Parts: sequence; C-alpha cells; structure tokens
Amino acid sequence: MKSLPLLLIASMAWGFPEMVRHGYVNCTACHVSPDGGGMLTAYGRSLSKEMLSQFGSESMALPLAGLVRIPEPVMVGGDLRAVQLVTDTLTATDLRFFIMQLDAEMGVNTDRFAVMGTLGFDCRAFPKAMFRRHWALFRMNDNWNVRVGKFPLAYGIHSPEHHLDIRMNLGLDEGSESYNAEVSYLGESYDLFVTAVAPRIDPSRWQSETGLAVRSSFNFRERYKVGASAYSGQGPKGSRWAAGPFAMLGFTEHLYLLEEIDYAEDGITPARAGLYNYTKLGWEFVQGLHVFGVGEFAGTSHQAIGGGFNYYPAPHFEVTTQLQRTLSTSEWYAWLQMHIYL
Amino acid sequence: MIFLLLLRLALAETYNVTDSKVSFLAVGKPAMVKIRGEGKCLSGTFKLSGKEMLISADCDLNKLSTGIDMRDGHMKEKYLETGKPGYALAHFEGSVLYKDGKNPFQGKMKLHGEERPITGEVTVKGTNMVFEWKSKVSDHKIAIPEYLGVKVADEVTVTVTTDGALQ
Repeated sequence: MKSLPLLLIASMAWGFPEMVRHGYVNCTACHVSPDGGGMLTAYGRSLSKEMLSQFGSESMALPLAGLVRIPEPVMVGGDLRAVQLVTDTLTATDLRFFIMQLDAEMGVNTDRFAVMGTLGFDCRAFPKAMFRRHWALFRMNDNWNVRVGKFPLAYGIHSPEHHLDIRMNLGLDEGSESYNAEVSYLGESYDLFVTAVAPRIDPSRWQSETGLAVRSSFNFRERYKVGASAYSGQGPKGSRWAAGPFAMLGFTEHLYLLEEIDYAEDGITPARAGLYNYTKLGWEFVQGLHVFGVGEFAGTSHQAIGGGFNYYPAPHFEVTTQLQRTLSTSEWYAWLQMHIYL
Repeated sequence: MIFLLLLRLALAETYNVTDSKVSFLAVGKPAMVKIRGEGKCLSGTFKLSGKEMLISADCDLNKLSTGIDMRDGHMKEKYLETGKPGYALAHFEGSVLYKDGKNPFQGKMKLHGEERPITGEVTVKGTNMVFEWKSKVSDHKIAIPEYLGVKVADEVTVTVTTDGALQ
C-alpha cells in the first residue's frame, strides 16, 4: 500500500501532456527533451504565457523572468516545488509541508545538438546533492533523434505526477532516471521511442538493471494521440516487465482525457504485479483554470478516486489542489502543491 | 466576345455570402506542431452563371489569428508584411462547377504581391461550399516563417468555407 506523504517528494521532469488539446501531440515544441519534461524551449516559454496561464507578461515567460539575459545557445531553467499535505486515516490526521523538488537546469541547444544537465537537492536526504538528469542529444534530421545519458524512460504518459500507480509501481517513480541510449522518431502522425537501459553507475535506491523500452503512438485529428508501451528489465534481484496502451485525447481545446492501462509482472517485488489503470478527465473552464477528476486502480491493492483544480495564474507558476480518497482503506488525502519554473 | 462576357455576367445570379471563414494549416518543425490560423476575413463577389460559380474575393490578412498573439504579430509584420501597400489583402479569383459533391476548381491567388495559379477541390452541399488547396509560401516570395525555433513547412493547406444564398 502506498503512503502519499512518502511519495510526494520530487518530480522526474515537469511536462504537460494535457497540451494535446491544443494540438501539441509531440513534446518537442515546448521541451528540448524528445520525450518532454525539463528544459523549456523558447517556444514552450512563450506558450506558457499565451495558452497555459491566465495572466502574465512576455518578460515573465523568459528565463529567470527576464531579469538576466541568457545568450543563445545557452539555456537555463529550474524547478521549485513544494506541497502542503493533509492525511486523514483511521488512526490519525496529519499535516505536513515539504519541499518536493529544488533543481537548477542548464544546457546548450543548437539546431543539431543539445546537452542538458540538472543540479539539485535530494529532497529525501536534504541537503545531499542530486544530478537528476544529464544527457546529450543529436538530431539527425527533423524526425530522428539519438540521445544518451541519464533521463526518464519513455513509457506511457509522461505525467509529472510520479506518485501515480502507473509511474511508481512500474518503476518510473522519482529518482528512477536511468542511464539510457534512446533513438526516437517524431513524425506528423507517428512517433517511436526505443530506449536501451544500461546498468547504473550512480548510487540509487533503484535496482541497477539492463532493459529495453519501446513506446509508439499514433496522432490523429490534430488533438488525439493513442499508443502503447512495453518495458522489460533484468537485474541482480530479478526481472520485470510491463506493457499497455495509453491515450491522450483533446476532445476540444478545453476538455481532455488522459488514460493509461498497464499490466506488469515483477519478479523483484511480486506484490507489484498486476493490472494498473489511470484516468484523468480535465476541463479548462477559464484559461489557466482547470477542474479535473482522477481515478487510479491497481488491481485489488489500491483504488483511489479524487479531483481538484489546477491553476496557472502566470507563466511558469502553477498551483494544484487535490482531494483523493483511497477506496480500500477509506483514507483521505488532500494536498496543495506549488510549482515554479525558473 | 466582350459583349458575350458582359451578357453572361448580367444574367448571372448572385451568391450572397452570409457566413465565411478562411483557415490555413501549416506544420511546424521539428515538433510537427499543427499551426492553424483562421479568420472571418472574406469579402467579394460570387456570381452563378449557369452551373459555373465565378469568384473574385479578398481576405483581410490582418483578421487571421493562430491563437497566439505574439505569433500572429510575427506572421503579419515579419512574413506577410501586411503593413506594406497592397499586402494586407490576399486576392482569389476562380471558377468552380456549382453542383453538389466534390468538384475540382482552378483559380489564382495573389498574396504578398505575387500571383500564382491554384488548383484544388471544392465540396458543395446546398449553399455551403468548402474550398481546399495547397500553396507554397516560397511561391509568394514569403520567407519561410520561423517562430522561436519552430519553422513552418513550405507547403500550407488553405481552406475557405462559405455559406450563402442565391439571389
């Protein structure tokens, strides 16, 4: 059984799969990473002001809010996330505030090459330093990319909510970024990611394993994306695999659905084997203000439903409030989360 | 010859446009972003002569929007250069078989001071017409648009939708 206070620690890389509703079916319009998350491109920064936020100015969307001019091709960014959490279980009610993520990111991005790296704190062991991601990217042409380094696996919906069953129980949780070699094809209608995972060379609470992930998706009618992922990994403690379909559907520019279903077998932690489902239905009723409902089902071990609001008052500033009930234990969780991107 | 043409026009029915929309779809690379712009910018004359619709219409390019203000500014000022004399309007001329179903059409479009032939397809359903054709930005001597690292492909799909009434 997962416990949210222990899980809401840090994000792998912030991204917005909900932007599919505006026709952004590939992440690279806004992010340097082919799989999204992390460093924003100039276009992505502009979009944060134009389409994501309710208020704000052009300068607020710039790196470091435009206070310091960053010369091309240098890029800077960073994440600060904090959460106020309330838990109400059968035995106790608890209030906790903590920093989830404090990372700076820097890199160089040219037409052909990109090199990115983060430096931050491990919020599980503050003030221990953490190099969450560092990778080099070569763009062979408009469609094909090769990337090597430490970054999250391309699997399923790249949701920043790492505490979801489809992230955490599939080994895609915060801190699971592995050393990979990735080949990706990003087309107008199709995309494909093939990622080979190498044994870890850094200290980690995650098993060092070799593996292979494949994710492919089909984009249609400008705002719809459906696909499937598979992963197989093997390490000294055992092997595991997972596979399943996902969908990111923008019914209108305001109404969207994220859906992922996975089946996993886990020889390392057998309790994690089983069927997983995640559903998020959201509606942006005023630009920058979303109401959403979520459902998570992990076999018989964890079922939760909830809902909340996302508010983007200004570029790179986000507030999320969510109330969630775990059906099997009748426990309630509520959290107020703040995210600032520099 | 001129007399016959004038007579033909004099006998023609007028198709009064009650609603219209001009839109374009461009693909931005490298992210394959679908950039859609649209606007109610159309004005002009539509004359039905026999089964042939003769069209002469303008689109006020300043009324087009892609949904991002800054991108619209770049598109109009830097690439379409709508501030220059004669560049604020795109002019279409052509003729089409006015018959329910999908029909080919031919015409010409003057954009950015450059006139080029266009060929495409029109779908007619009652008084509703949907024209669609592909044009190359470079044919009209427009620099390939680039906005914050996203570069638009040369070929753009243009769609013109009209609703009207025959008089």
